[in-house]
Amino acid sequence: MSGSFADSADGPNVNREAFGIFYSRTNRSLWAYLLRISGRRDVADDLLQESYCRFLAAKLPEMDAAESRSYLFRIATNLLRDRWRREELPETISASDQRFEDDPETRTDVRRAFDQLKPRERQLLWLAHVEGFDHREIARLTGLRATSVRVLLFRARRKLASVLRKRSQTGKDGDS
Amino acid sequence: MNRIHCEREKEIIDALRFGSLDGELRRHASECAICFDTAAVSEFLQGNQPAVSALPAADFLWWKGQLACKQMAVERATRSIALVRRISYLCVGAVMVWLLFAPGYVPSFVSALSKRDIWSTGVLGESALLMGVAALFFALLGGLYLARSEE
Repeated sequence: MSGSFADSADGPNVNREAFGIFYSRTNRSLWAYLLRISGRRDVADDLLQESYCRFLAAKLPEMDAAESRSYLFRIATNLLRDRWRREELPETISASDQRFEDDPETRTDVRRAFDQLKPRERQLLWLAHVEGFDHREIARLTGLRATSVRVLLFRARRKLASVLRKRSQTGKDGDS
Repeated sequence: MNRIHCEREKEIIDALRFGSLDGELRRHASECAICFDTAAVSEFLQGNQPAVSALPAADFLWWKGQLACKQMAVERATRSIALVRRISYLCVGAVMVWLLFAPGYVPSFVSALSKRDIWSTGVLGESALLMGVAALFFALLGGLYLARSEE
């Protein structure tokens, strides 16, 4: 998507049709990111709308689709951080917050382990492993340095992987 | 030194995002501890995607975005007025503080005014100089602010 489809000087940077295509390509992944990091469906719904509104209102330079997606995730990441700063969101997702997330699938112990990670760790893992951003892009999104992202991501991954290993060992022990 | 990164990490993640690991990547993941964890975490997170609820329509967000743009345009237009108003409040505050903590200055100014020799005492000249400097300072600040907002 390019920033050159401006409708008017004071209007959004992109035209309606281009926005429609961009929205249909990004809305599900952005909503999943917001839900998994905040742990609350109401917050995810709210921040999804705010992210797109800010995206439309921003004076953007010429951008391709990947850059626009990256910019959108950056807005969402900043909005999440604002919520944590205002302490509207808990650091970890507790059982009481999980009532907001009425997913049909059962919440396993491992899912709970992910929810118990620090917000920054959840963010880094999700952006790298689900959204496929590289370290440099994650650094831009989160305001960290690429070297810090590498270290923090390594630690977060090791933490979650050890829970997954323990779980698979318990499963095997249970089977035998 | 312990390794914290493998060059093939991204390849593993991308392969799992768009399908599954091929034989060569699978073999590498079984030999490399970092890629083994990467594959396990990727499979877990990608397998735990939430069920998406009804999301708002693109047209609705477009309309909201347009409203936000208009609101921002109004804010931009009234920002300089708000700035001047804030500076005025600051000036009034500064004068109040000055009057409060320099009470001797006011009677001497008033008496000089009554004797019509304010220029000779230098009271008015000093005040005029101070006010002129303050006005220049605020004009400079305002000019810089407007130039920056234009950019």
